[in-house]
Amino acid sequence: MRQRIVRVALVMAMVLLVGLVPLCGQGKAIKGGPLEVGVLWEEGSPWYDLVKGIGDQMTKDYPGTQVTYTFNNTAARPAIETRMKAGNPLDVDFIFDGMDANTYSWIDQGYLLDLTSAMNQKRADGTTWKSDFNPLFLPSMTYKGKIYAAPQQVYTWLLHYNKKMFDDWGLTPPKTWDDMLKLCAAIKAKGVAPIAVTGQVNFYVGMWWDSLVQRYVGSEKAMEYLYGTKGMKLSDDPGFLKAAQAMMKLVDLGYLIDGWQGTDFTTAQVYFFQGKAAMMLMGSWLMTEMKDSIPDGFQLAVAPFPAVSGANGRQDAIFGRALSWSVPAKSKNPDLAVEFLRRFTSKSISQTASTQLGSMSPNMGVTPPTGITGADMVLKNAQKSEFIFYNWALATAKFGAMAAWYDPIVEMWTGKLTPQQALAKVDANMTSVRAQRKAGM
Amino acid sequence: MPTRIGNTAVIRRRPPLQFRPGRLVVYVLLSLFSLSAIAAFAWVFMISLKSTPEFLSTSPWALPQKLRFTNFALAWQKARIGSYFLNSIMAASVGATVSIIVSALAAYVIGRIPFRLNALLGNYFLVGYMIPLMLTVIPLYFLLASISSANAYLTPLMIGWGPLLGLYVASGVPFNTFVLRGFFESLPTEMEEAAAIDGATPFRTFWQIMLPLVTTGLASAFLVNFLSLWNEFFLALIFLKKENATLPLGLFYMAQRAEYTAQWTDLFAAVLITTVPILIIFALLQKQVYRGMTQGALKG
Amino acid sequence: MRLMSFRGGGKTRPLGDSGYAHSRLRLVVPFLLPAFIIYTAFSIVPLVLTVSSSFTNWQGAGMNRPFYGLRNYGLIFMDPQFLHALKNTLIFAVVGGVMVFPPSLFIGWALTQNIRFKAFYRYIAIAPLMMSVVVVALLWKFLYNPVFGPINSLLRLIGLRALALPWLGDTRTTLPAIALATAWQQSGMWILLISAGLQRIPPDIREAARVDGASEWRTFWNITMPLLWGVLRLLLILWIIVSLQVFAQVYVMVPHGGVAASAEVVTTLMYNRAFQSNQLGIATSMATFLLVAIFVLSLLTNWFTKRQVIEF
Repeated sequence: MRQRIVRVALVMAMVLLVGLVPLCGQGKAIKGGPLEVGVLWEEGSPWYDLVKGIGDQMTKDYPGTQVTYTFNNTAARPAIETRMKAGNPLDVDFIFDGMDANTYSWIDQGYLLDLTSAMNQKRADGTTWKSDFNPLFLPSMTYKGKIYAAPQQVYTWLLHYNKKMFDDWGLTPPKTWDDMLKLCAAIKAKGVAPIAVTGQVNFYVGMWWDSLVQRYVGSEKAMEYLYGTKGMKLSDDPGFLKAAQAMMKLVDLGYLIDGWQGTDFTTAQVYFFQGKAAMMLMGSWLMTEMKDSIPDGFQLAVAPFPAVSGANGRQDAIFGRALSWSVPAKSKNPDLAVEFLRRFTSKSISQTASTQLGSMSPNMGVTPPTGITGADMVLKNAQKSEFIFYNWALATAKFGAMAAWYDPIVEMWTGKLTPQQALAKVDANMTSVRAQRKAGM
Repeated sequence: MPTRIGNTAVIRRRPPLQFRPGRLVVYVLLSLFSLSAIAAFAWVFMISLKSTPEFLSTSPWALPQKLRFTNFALAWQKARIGSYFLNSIMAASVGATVSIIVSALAAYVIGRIPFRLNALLGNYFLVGYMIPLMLTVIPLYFLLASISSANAYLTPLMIGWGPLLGLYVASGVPFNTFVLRGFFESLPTEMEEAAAIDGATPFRTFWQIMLPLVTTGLASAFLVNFLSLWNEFFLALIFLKKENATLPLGLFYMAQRAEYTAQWTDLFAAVLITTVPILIIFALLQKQVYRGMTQGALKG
Repeated sequence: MRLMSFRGGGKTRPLGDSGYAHSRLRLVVPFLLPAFIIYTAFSIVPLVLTVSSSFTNWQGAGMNRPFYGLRNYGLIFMDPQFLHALKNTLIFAVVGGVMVFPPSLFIGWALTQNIRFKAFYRYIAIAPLMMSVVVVALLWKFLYNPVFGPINSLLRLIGLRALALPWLGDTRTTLPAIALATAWQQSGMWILLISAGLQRIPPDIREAARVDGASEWRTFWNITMPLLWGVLRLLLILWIIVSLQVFAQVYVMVPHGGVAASAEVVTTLMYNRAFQSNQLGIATSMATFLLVAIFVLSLLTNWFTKRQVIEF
């Protein structure tokens, strides 16, 4: 009799233990509490509402949770980063990308939480959080073998064009740079400006420069020039000059919209969407931002940047980035924050964003945005080719490197400098940037 | 205009014909200048009544199809101009008031009480005129942020309103001490002597006799302080977050947002909300403002 | 007119009774202390901090400020971006000054003449000074917009299409356009002080000249102007101080520095270096340089124009 009781007790204990394992697997229970989430988007915009939806759901699931949303876009970053260093960070922030070396110091100095174990945790269906993502974006999440961020959407640089205009005139997006020049001539002949560009912002003009440099010279050389320490000059590779000359052709032949120098982002978009310009090289964020403002009857289509025959770079490379979010190490409620991040980067949210907001997803198995011709091929192509962090990550580089790289090129486009002079000026700028880097500032 | 000398009227000759074309030119130029300023504002008002798609698609001079006064309500609520407005009122009034008070105290003793370091201190406060705060506050911000990381309780003091109000008060001290000192100095000493004979303490003399005599000076200095703090931008940009911004800073953020979301019409409405109250105050208190601004620069 | 002369002690006399004078002295410290503390803490300390930081390699976090000597200054003067910003700042100051001076003189003078609607004109002229720099910058930014702004559309309407330039885009017009907006606002101060200064000139002097047969123009140039010089001197110094540290107008009208940094000035560059790159050593050395420049230029202006001040 006693043996039976013991046996039953043992079985019950084992059942209890087995039942508890899933709970143990989740670690300690997540407690509700205040959660400060960074948002890149304005109150009332679709992405903001999406994020707020997640926050509201968290409040229901974890009682006591209070989510606040803090603007953490470019203008607010200095304040946010000062808070981070002061030990009072946000709980979910947009600050690190494995492909942007300028952000590594955040990890080296211990500011970010290691998400590797959370990422590798097996879920009930055997998958892991990490397996949700397209392997193309793993480099964005990782540093020195550990994972510090999760991507929530992807931007790529695309040639946006007016599909209706193209169809009406029997035009197709350019596959090579020669095609591009012929295409522009054809469009100009019809009385429409071929290209709209935001002259006021140097890195938007810089998209053309970076794309051509990549095609002509290749990303390795470009990165060596921008970040290397060996004093490389642009004259060391004739490809740079060829890229500058090719870019200058667009101005010489009058393919840019009139008054491009005075256009800001809004104006350039208006030109494009009102049919005053046929094409615009822009990030895929355009699709999301303009979703509500695209006039009826406008058909948006996208295509990759054309190839340059006989040049050195990978002709199918794509510029872009995955927007990766992290949890600061000093977050007051890291478990809650990680859970938020899980949901924020989940397949379902990503699918919603893709369908309703037109954004590109870093997750596997999410259908790309509909209604925009060419959008579905972008990531498929990216898979096979080189994925380069846009602007060569200069946006976070110090010592004025971005202005050093782009400003002389913009000046070249205004006609004040010849391509050779522009390259010489970039060299002069970079010398100063390198001196400051060397001084260890 | 005839003047009388004795019983005969003497007509004083003004050479009027020589001046009339000149006068006309003056009127024309002044009118052109004023007209363009008014036209600019009228244009802003007109745009603030349009809707965003209308703004983007019609000519800038086209009249609005419908008068969208709701843009103003939208700016006030959704764009949070209302809260920015309150923040500005608080910042400007607290800053101006405290600055006037501390400056009046200092100005009184510098202006009326002879003591050894009197002249030196007078000059000390004036040095601030040559120190544009814009160029010196950036390290202060980083310093305070670093200090507050060591002790989280100090954070509200170190970041945001604390240092901003301190800076606002300090920024008025040079002007205020200078102007108020002039006022105090110009008061006759008989009052003090009489009060001393009557047995009043020095503090009472100040509080009940000297101070009330300079109220006009205090008022116009306050007005000048208030106006400049209301319009202040740079310090607010550095020390305030978006959530508790003052009007100029809030407008700035709205403009940034408008660049990406093309919501220009709310921005125009917000600009008007920011400016019209001040223009009205200015219209009502013109003379005081003029007096306040000129007394700092011109003596006599 | 004496400007900003420092009179210490002034009209006070010890009030005979030494006991009373003594107890008055007791007021000194408590009355001075609040202003002294606040002013020192928020005006003087930041100044010291800025200048001392310019000799360090401070990265903005913590108190670690390794001493660096004059290296920051060496680096900034070697940096083409800084030299370009410096050039822009000077161009802005000169162009803006030229834009402010004649119209302000004219309007300031006109407001002392016997014309009608004076109060109205004065209000319109000085009202811009009552607005925030942000409002003025935004207003002019809208006005200058090549597509949605009234200036260009007006030019097109009256057939002057060729003049409808992208004011804030064309690298030749960006700085002057911003300078115009700044001058428009600042001229209010000039007009106010000039007309106040003119009114202080005793009318007998002008009357005497007129009776002697001098024309309005000659009276103005040979008699009024020299008497006004004291005010003008002050305004010039004021303009130097304001224009060398211009920030808001540039930051609001061309947030990214304009096409090819055509409108990058020292303050915007300094701001970016501080907040985007955390290079506080570099940023403070730029700030210190500007402070010294403003101080030196003001002194020079003061000294060079001194002899022309006539006191009466």
